[in-house]
Amino acid sequence: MKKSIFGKICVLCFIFISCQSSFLDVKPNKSWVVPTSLQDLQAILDSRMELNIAPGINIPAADDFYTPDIYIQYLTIPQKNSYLWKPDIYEGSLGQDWNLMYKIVFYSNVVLEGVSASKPATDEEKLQWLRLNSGALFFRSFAYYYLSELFCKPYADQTADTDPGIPLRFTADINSISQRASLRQSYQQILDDLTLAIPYLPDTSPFLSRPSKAASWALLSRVYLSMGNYVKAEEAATACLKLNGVLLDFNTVDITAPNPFPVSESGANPEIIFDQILSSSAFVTVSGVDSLFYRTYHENDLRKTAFYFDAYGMKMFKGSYSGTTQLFGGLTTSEVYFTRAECYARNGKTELALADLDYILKRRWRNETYLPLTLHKEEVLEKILLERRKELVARGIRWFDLRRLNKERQFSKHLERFSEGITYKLPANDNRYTFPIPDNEISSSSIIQNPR
Amino acid sequence: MKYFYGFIILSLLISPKVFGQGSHIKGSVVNDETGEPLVGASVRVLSQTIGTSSDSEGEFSLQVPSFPVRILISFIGFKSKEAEIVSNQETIIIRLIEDGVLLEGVTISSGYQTISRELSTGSFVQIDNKLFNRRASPDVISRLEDIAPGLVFNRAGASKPASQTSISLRGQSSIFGREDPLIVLDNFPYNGDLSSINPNDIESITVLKDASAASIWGAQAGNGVIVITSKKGKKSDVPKVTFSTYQSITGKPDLFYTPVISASEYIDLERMLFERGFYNALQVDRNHPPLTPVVEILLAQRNGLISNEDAEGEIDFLRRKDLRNDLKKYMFRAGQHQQYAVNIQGGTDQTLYRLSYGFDRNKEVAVGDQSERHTISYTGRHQLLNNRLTLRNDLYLSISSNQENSVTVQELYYATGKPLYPYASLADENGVPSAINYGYRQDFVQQAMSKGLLAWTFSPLIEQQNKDNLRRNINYRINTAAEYKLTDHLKIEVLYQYDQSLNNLNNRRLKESWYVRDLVNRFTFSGVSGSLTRPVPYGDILQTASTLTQSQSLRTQVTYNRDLKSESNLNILAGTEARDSKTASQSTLYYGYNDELATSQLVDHFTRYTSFVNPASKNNLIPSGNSLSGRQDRFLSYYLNGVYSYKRKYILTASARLDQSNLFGVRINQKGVPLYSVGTNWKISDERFYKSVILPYISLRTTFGYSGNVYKALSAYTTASYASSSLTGSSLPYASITNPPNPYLRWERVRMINTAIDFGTQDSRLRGSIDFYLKKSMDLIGNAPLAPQTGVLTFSGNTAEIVGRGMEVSLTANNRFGKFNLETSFIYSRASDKVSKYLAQASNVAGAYLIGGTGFPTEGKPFYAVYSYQWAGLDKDSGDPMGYLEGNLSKNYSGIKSSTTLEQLKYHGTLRPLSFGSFRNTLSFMDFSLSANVTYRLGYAVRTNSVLYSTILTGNGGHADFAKRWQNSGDENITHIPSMPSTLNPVRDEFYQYAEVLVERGDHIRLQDINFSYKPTGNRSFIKNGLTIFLYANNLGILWKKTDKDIDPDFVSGIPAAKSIALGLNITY
Repeated sequence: MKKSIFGKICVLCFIFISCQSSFLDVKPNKSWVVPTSLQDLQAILDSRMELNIAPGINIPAADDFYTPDIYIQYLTIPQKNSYLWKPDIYEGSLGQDWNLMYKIVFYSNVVLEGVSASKPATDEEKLQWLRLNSGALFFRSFAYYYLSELFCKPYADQTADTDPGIPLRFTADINSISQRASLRQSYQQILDDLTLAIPYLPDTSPFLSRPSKAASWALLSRVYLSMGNYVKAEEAATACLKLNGVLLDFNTVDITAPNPFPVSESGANPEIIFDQILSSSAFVTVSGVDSLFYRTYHENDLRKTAFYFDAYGMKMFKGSYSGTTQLFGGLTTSEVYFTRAECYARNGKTELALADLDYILKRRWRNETYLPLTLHKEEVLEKILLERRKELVARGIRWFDLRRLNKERQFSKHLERFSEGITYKLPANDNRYTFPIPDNEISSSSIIQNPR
Repeated sequence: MKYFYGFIILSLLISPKVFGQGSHIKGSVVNDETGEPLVGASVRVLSQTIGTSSDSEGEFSLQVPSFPVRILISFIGFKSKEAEIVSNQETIIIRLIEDGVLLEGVTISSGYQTISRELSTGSFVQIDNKLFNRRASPDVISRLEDIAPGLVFNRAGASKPASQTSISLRGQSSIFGREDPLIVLDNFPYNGDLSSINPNDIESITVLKDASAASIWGAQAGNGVIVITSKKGKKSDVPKVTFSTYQSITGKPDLFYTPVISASEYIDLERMLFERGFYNALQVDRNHPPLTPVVEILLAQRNGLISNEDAEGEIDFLRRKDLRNDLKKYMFRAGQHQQYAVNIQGGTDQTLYRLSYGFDRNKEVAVGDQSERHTISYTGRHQLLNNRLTLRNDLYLSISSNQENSVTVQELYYATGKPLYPYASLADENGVPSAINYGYRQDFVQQAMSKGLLAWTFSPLIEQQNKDNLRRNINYRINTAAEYKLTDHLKIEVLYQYDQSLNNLNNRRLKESWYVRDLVNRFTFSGVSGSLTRPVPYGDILQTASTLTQSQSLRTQVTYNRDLKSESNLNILAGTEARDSKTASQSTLYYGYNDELATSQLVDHFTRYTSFVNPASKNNLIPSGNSLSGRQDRFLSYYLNGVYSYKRKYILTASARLDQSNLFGVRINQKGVPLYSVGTNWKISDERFYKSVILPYISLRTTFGYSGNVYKALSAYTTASYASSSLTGSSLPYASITNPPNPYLRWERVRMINTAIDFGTQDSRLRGSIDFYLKKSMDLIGNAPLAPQTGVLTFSGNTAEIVGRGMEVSLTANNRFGKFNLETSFIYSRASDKVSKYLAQASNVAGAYLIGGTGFPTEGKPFYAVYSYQWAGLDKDSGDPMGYLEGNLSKNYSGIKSSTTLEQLKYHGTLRPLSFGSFRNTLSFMDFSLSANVTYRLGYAVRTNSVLYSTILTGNGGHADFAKRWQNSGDENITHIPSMPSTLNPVRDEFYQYAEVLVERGDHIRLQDINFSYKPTGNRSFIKNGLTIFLYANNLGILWKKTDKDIDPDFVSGIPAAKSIALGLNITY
C-alpha cells in the first residue's frame, strides 16, 4: 500500500516539474523588453535623453565666457577646474562627459549587436535594418568624435600614428576592456563608420533627433575640418548643403524674446540638421559673455540681441538655439556654411567663400543694412573665423576651433583669465588643451593618462 | 493554469480505502484550564509500541489491537494522564492539567504545520491571543511592537515602499532587497494591504527567527517570517457569541515640539533682509512670486503708500501671532477610533464554524481625514468519511475607505520651498476663514482677477472643503483545504488560496479648489478681441487610479508521522507549492469632470501654451496623468521537512527546499536556489545525570541553515524599458536600457547559526530562553564599479556581503505575594551588522555619507553608519564654525567638503538601535490586573536639527537655536551655534549641519503603555463565559534619555506619536 502512495506522489511531482518551464517564463514587469525586434532597437536609438547629448566641459575652458568671482561657487568642481585650466579637472569626481559619450557608444553597440542578430524578412524590414545599423554607426562616430576632441591631442597627420587616441569599443559586453587606439585609428574609425552609414540613411529626417544623410555629411565636414583636410571638408559640407541648405532669416524672429528661436522638436528652427543638447548648462547661467568679444557684434547685427540679454551686470547668453531651456549642441546649416566658407577660403576659392559669408550675414543683420563685404584675400579667412565664433556661441565648438587654429601661427591664441585674485594662463598648444581621462577609468582599465 | 490539472489528478489518485473499523479510537487532547487544544501531545498504548501524537486541532486517532485498552497521554508542561478506552463508540476528550513547568507558547505554527514547541529546534516567538490583545489598535502589525524578542520597529533608515513594513528581525540582511520579514497569513504569503486584517479575527502570531524555523519558507525567509493565524471555530454545545469593542482617543500632535524662531524674530529678519534689498529681485520676478504681508507692508511704507506709524502698528500686531495656534485649532483635532467586533462560533465534532463581523471607524487627527473598515469572515471545518477527510473553507472580506481631505503642512507652503510665515492667520477672530498670501503676489492676483481670470486667492480652511480624495480597498481571500488521512500515520493535504485586492483612488479636486483655479488661470490666454480662452476647462479635476492584485497559491503536502520503536517519533513533511501573483495598475486624469453626470472634457496635451503668469514661459503642456503598468511574480517550490525525536529528549530536525521563480532571463537551472537547514534540541533536564532542583527544565538548541531573499528588479539579459514620451518633448516612443546583461545573476542567501538554551524553574517561577546567532548574508545584490568606457558606471550584481550577530534574552517571572501576582517579562535583543564586502566606493564622501545620510555601504561598518565632520569649535572672532582640513584648523568649507576622506569623518555608530527590548510588569489582584510596558532602545546615534542660515537668510524662518547663536566674542565658550553670516553660504551651513556637535546618542527608555483590566469572576452566565473591561494608554513618554537635548530620539524630524487612551469591553455569551 505504502509503495502505491509514494508512486502517486511521484506522479504528482512529475506533473509539477513537467510544467514548470512555461510557468516560470512569465515576465515579471510588463514594461521590460529584451531588445531584439527592430522596433525595440529603434526605440533604443530614439532615447534622446541618452543619445542626443554633446559634451559641456569644454565650454568653461574656452574664451567666450567669464564667471565673476561671486558666482564661482556655483560651478561644479570639474566646471571650475576647466574654467581655471587646472591640471586636475575631476578631483575625484566623475568624468561626466567621458561617461555620457561612452554610454552612447554602449547604446550604439547594443543596437549594432541586436541588428546583426536579427534577420530581416521583408524588403521593408531590410530597409529598416539597414537604417538602424547606419544610425547606430552614426551615433557611435559622433561620440568617438567628441571623445577625440576632448581627450586626445589635436589631430596632426605627422604624429597621428604615435599620439594616443581613444579606446575603440565594438561590443556591448561590459566585461571587455579596450586600450587606447592610435589617434589615426580613432579618426579612421569615425570616417569609416560614417562612410558606411551614409548610403542607407534618409536624406533628411522628420525627427531631428534621428540621423540622416545631411547630418552625416555635416559631421564628416566637422571631422575633416578638425583633421585639417579642407578639400574633403569642403566636399562634405557641399554634399550636406545640397540636401539641406535652409538658413533662418533672423529678421523673421522676435529677437527680443527670452527664447527667440522656435522649439526644435516641432521642426520649426529650419537650421537644425541634428539635435543635441549639452550635457550641462549650469556654467552659462552664471557667466557673462566676454566683453571684448561682445563688442565685435555690430549694432545692426541681430545676433547681438537674439543671443544676449542683460542680467546681474553682465551680458548673458539667452539660452538655446533650439528654443528649449537646455543649451543646444548639435549640427546646423549655419555651421556647415561657415565650415564651407572657411574651406573655400583655404582652398583658394575666395569668391565662393565671400559669397557664402554674405549669404549668412545677410540673414543675421537687420534688413537693408547689410552690405556685401569687400575684403583682401588675406583678410577673408580671418573674417570668416571671427563670424564663425560669433555665430556658434555656447555650443562647445569654440574650444575645438581653438585647438585646431593654435597650430597656425597667425590664428593661435594665448589665453589669460583673472579670477579670485589670481591670473591663469593657457598658452597655445599647451597640454591642457587635452582634458585628462577620468580617474576611475584609469584605475579600472589602466589606459594611458594624458599629460597635463 | 496547467498545474491545476495536478489538483484534479490528485483527486482521482486518492480512491477511498476501507480501513479496519473495529479497533479504531479517536479523541482530542485539551488544556484542562483553558480548553485550548494541545498540539503534538503524545498518545501511546501502554505496554505496546503503538502511538501517535495529536494534530493541529489537538486531535488524534489510533488503531488498537483490541478493547479495552489503556493509553497514556503526555505533553510537555502538563501532567501525564492514563485513560482506559472500552469501545470505539465515542470521541474521547482528554483534559491535561498544567504541571507547573510551563513553556511559553506551547504550540507554534510555521505556516506549513502546527508543531509542538518541544519538538522544535528553531528559534520561534509565539505571541498568544492574550498578549496580542494587550494593545488596542486597529491593525495587526503594530500589536507586535515591543513584545517579540529580536523584532524591532525601525524609526530611522532608508524610506521603503509602502508595501513593506518598518519591521526588521535580527538586523539587516539585504542592501537593495526587502528588509522586512515575510508575512504569512493562514499558511500563505500575504501581499495584500495589512491594514485590511481585523485583529479581532487573529488567534496568534508566530515569529520565525532562525534558519531552522524560517527555512521552510526558503528564498523569501531571509529576513525572518511572521506567521499570522486566524481564529477558527471551537467545539461548543451552544453557539457562543463574543462582542468586543473599544473606543480610543489620540491627542493632537504637539506642533510646538520642533522649536522654531518666533514670529517677532521672523519679522526682524524680514526687515533686515528688506533693508538689504533681498526682496528687490522677487518684486520684479516675472513669475510674480508672493511676498509675505510684512514685506508688502514694508514696500508700501517705502513707496509712501502708508505712513510709518500705520506700518509699525500693523507689524506689531503680526508679531503677536503664532500660526501654530491656528493650525492646532483648525487643522487638527483629537483623533478618535472606534472598533466593534462580533462573532459567533460553535459546532460539533463534524462541523465547526466561526462567523465574524468587524467595524472600525477612525477620525484622524488631521481634520478632513477619516477611515472606515468593515470585515466579514467565515471559517468552517467539516469532517467526513469517518473523520478521515477534513475540509476547511475560510472566507475573508474586507472593505475599507479612507477619506484624505486634510490640507497638509506642505500644501501650505506659500511658494515653492517657502513654509507658511509664522504670523499667518487661518481665520479671523470670528472664525471666518481668511486668505493668505499664496502662490503669487497680491497685486498680480488683483490685476488678473480684474481681467476676468478666476479668483486666485487661497484660504486654507476653505481648501479643506474643496477636496474629495477617497481611497477604497476591497480585499477578499478564500482559503480552501482538504486533508485526507490515508492511514493513521500518513495524511495528504491540498491547500488552495485565492486572494484579491482592489485599491481604488478617486481624487477629485473640486473646481473651487486652488489647484483647479490655478491650473485654469495659468493656461488662460486672451485672444485678439480680448476674450479669454481656457485650454484647461473650469471644472473638477479627477484623478483615478486603481491597483488590482490577484494571487493564487496551491500547495500539496504529505505528512508522515509515526511513533517508532523505543519511544522515538518520526515526522516527515514533503510538498510542493506553486504561487502566482499578478498586479495591474492604471491611472487616469480627467479634466472638466462633472460629478453629477460623470462626464469629462478632453484637453489638448500636445499644444504648448504660454503661461499667463510669465509670458516668457512658452512651452507649457497641460499635465497628463495616464499610466499603466503590470507585474507578475511566480514561484514554484519543493520542500521537505523532517523531525526525529528520541524519548522526547533528543530532537533532530532537517529541512530542504528548492525555490524557483520567474527571475527574468535567468536560465532555468539558475532560477532556483536550494536551501537547507539542520537543527538539534537536547533536553538536558531529561537526562538521568541531571538533578538540578533549581532548574528542573533546561534544553539546548542548535541550528544551522540557509534562507534567501528575492530581488527581482534585475535581469540576466540586456533589458530596456519603454517610457512614455510626452516628457521628453518628442513624439517618438523610446526605450532606455535599464539593465546590462548579467548572466550570473542569482538569489541572495542568508546563512544563520543559532544556539539557544531554554530553561524553567520549579513552578514556572522563572522561565526563559537565551538565543545567540551568527548570520552571514551572501550574494547580496550590490553595486560594483565598472570601467566607464563600458558605458555602464556601476554594475548591480551578487557582489556584496553583510555579517550579523546578536542575541535575544527572554525572561518571564511569576511571583505571588498573597493575593497579588506579579508577572514580569523582560526582553533584551541585540542585533549588530557589518557590511563585510562591498565593491563600489563612494566618489563623493560628503554626498554619500553625510548629505542624505545613510545607506552607502562601507566595508567594516554597519549598514546604517552615522558619520560627521570633526568639530573644532567656533571662531572666537567671527563665530564661524571650524573644522579640519588636512589636519589643520580650517574654515574652508568647500575644501573640507571636497577633500575630507571617510577616515577623517567621525564615526558615531549606527542609526538603528543596537540593543532594544522591553520590561513588562503585570500585577494582578483578584479580578484586576495592571500591566505596564517599559521599552528601551540603546546604542545608536541620531543627527539632530539646528539653525540653517540658508533658510534664515532667505526669509524662510528656521530653528529656534537661532536665538542661542554666537553673537559676541566669548560666546564660543557657551554655544556651538554659528553666528549669522553676512551672505548666504550653503557650504558653511552644510558643514555645521553635518558636524559632530549635532550628533546625539539616541539611547532612551520609554514608558510605552499601560493596560488596566478588570475581569470579574462570578456565576452569572456572561461573566462566567468571559467579560473583560480594559483601559489602555499608549505613548506615555520618555523616562530616561542619554542626550540633554529636548528631543525624542526616535522622532528627530517629525512629531512624536501623541498619547492615546482607549476604553474597551469584551464579552462572551
